Amino acid sequence: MHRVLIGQFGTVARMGLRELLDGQGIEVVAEAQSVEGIVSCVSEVRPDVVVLDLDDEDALGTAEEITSEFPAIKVIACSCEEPVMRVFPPFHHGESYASKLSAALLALALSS
Amino acid sequence: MDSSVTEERPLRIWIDDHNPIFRLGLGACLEPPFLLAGESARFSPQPDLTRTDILVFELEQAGLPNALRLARDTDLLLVTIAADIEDELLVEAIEAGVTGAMLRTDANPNTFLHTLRSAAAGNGSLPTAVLSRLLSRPRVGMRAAGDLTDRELGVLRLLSKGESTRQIAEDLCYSEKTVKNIVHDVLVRMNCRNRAQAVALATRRGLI
Repeated sequence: MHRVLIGQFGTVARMGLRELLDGQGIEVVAEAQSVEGIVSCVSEVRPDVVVLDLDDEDALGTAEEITSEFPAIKVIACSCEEPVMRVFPPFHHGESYASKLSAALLALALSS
Repeated sequence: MDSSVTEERPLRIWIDDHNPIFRLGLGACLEPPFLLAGESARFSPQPDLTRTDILVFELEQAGLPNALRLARDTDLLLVTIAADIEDELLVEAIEAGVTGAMLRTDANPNTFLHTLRSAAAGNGSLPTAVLSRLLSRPRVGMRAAGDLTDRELGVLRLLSKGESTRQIAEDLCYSEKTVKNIVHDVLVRMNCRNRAQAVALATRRGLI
């Protein structure tokens, strides 16, 4: 089962993500407490997947940083405003594709 | 088991939000007496009003006209979530009878539950910044002033300051029952669904 690290999100969004992941039986191993601390948190926890807030202006930069430093880790950046997410597949540094965000699609991206 | 706790009637909340993470998060904020009745994204699927007491909807993206259409001729209470505090739609929403409003950026379990509780109590709830914007709007038209008595205007003024029925009763040396009667008369006379709408309309018309 994949181990997930959640980046910094607003309270409601974090509760929503927790709800979604719990519903899928996905384990959240850590929640980053700040945007700055996320990369060190990732290197400490070594999750399989990192979920970032796409609405945060640093999200794409952070995603690239994580995937280039830890190629085995998948990064999924989800917006909490628009129903959009970007998935950074491992082995394709800096490359991402945007897709529709739904509970089912996010669960699929998290567990595949 | 402690049976002395008064049982509150459950209030069924329907949440419409087009972002699944935020929508699930709002649902997770609910605690008794509030229950999740159902959820939808941009009114798809259509909210089931037969099992909904309060509809929570997004102000933007045609949310307001959709919600107002659903609420017409029903007792449905409306609570809106606004992305932008400057949005003129927010003023329009309050004037149209939306009971509570919360800014998306302010959303947390406390603010959301507070907004729902106020809506359920018929008091309405607005972010302070919105209320002050309503109060500072240019005043238009005095014509309707004659429709309300001094006593009713006095109560409306105190309502606009956010006072509760009890506080108003104390301030004006009336009984709470009298204040409730006056508020009721004002709502009927102004054809408003709730206190927040009456305050918004009275402010806009320059009555208070």
